[in-house]
Amino acid sequence: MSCLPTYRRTQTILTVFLIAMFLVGMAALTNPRGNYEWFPFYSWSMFGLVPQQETIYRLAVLDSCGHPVDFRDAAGLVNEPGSLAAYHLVQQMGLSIANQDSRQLSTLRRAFEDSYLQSGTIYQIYQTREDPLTAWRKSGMADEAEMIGTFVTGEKLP
Amino acid sequence: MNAVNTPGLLKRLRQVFGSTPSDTLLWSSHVRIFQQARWGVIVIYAFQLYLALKTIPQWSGMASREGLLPLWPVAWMNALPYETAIYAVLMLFLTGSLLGAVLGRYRIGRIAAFFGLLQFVAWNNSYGKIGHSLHVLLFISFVLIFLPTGWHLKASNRTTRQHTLFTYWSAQAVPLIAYSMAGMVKVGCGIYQLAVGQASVFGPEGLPRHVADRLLQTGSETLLGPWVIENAWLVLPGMWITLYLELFALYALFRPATRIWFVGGLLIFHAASYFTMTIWFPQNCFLLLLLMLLFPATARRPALTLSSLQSLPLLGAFFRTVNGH
Repeated sequence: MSCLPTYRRTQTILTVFLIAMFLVGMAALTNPRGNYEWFPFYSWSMFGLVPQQETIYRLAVLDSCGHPVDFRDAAGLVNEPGSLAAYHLVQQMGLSIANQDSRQLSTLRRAFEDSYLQSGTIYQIYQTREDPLTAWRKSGMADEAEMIGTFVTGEKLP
Repeated sequence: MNAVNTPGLLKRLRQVFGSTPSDTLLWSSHVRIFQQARWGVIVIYAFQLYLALKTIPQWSGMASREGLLPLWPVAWMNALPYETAIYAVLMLFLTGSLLGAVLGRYRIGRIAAFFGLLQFVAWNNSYGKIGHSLHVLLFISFVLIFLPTGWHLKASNRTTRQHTLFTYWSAQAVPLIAYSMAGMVKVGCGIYQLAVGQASVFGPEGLPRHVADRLLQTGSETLLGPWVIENAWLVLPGMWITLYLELFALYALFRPATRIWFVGGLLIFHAASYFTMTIWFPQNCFLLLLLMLLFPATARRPALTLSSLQSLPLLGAFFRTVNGH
C-alpha cells in the first residue's frame, strides 16, 4: 500500500516529467536534422510550416532502356515506391551531396539501397525547386530539375 | 468533502485551471473514479500486449528488413548478428508486454513493459525516418511505472487511491500535452509565416499546400485529397477548428466536461487526415477514447450538453452569452 511520502515523491517526479516532456520536446525544434526530435522527446511539429516553393530532392532509377523513372512511379523496379521513409532518406541523401558529406551519404545510400533497390540498379538524384500546389497540379518531375549524382547499387563512392 | 493535499505547483495550476478530476470528492465518488482508473490501466497493458502479439506473424519479414540506422536505445544491435538483434528486440517487446499485462501489479512488470516498448519503438524507427504512432503509448507506459503498490486492489486505502489517480491523471495528460504542443507549433509557425508574407496555416492555402506536399512525397492518391486542394475556402473553417482543438487540448484535462468535445473533434480530425493524406494514428485514437471517455476517472460521465459547451476555453463565453448568462 502507498504511503504519503511515496505519493508526494511520485507527484514531484511526474510533474517534472510532464513539464520536461513539453520543454525538451519544444527544444527539439532546434534539431531539424533529427526530424525536430531528440528521441523519444518530440516537438510534435507535424505540418507546422506550410510548404512554400522550396528546394527538394528527387530520385529516379534507370529502366532497361536507360530512361530515368521517378522513384514514386517505379513500381516493379523498386520496393515500396510510395514509402514516406524512402522520401525522407532521399532528402537526406540530397542534402549530403549538397554539403559534400560523403561519409553521411555513404551511410544513407547503404540504408536506402538495402531497403528499396535491387542489386545493380543505376539511380540518379535530382535537385529541384518545387511549389507543392503547382507541382501537384502538373505532376511528374519538374523540368528544371538538376541531376546532382548518379550511383549504382552496391558501388562504393570514390 | 475531503480536499486533497497537493504541492505548491499543483495548487497554483489548480487555481489557474480549476480543480483536478479527483479533488474534493465524496468518498463514494472517490472510490468509483478509482475503479475507472484501475480498469483504464488494465486495458492499457492489455492493449500493449495486443500490439505485441499482432507483430508475431510479421516477425520473419521484420527480421529481413534492411538499412538499419539505429537510434540510441538500440545502439547495442550493432554488436550482434543482424537477424539475432532484431529477434532480440521483438522478444523484448513481446516479453515486456506480457509481463506488463500479467504482472502489472508489480513495478518490475511495468518497467519491463516500458523497456520492451522502448526497444521496439526505437528499432522500428531506425530506418531513416521516425514515425510517431507509438510515442504517446511509450510515454504513458513510462508514467504508469509510478503506480503505487496495491493499485490493483479494489479495497485500497485513500492514499493509494489518490496516488493511483494522480498517476492516471498524469497518463491522461500525455496525449493532451502532445496535441497542445502540435497546436502551439502550428500557431507559432503560422504567425511567423504571416509576418514574412508567406501562405500560412491561417489562410486558405495552408491546408491545401500541406495535402499537396504530402501526396507528392509518397505519390499516393486519396479520397478527399484532390477535393481539399481544389476547395481551399471550404476547408478553411475545418483548419481553424483543428487549430483550436489542438491548441487547447490540455485544457480538457482540467475541465472534464469539455473532454467530449475535444476528443470527438480530434477523432474527426484524425479521420479527415486519413482520407486526405493517408495519415492514421489508430493507437492515439484508441488511447484518447480509452483515457478520456471510456475510463475518464471523473465524477460525472462526459455528455454532449450546452453546459459543457459553456466550459470551453474562449468559445465558452459565446455559448454563455447565447444562453443568457
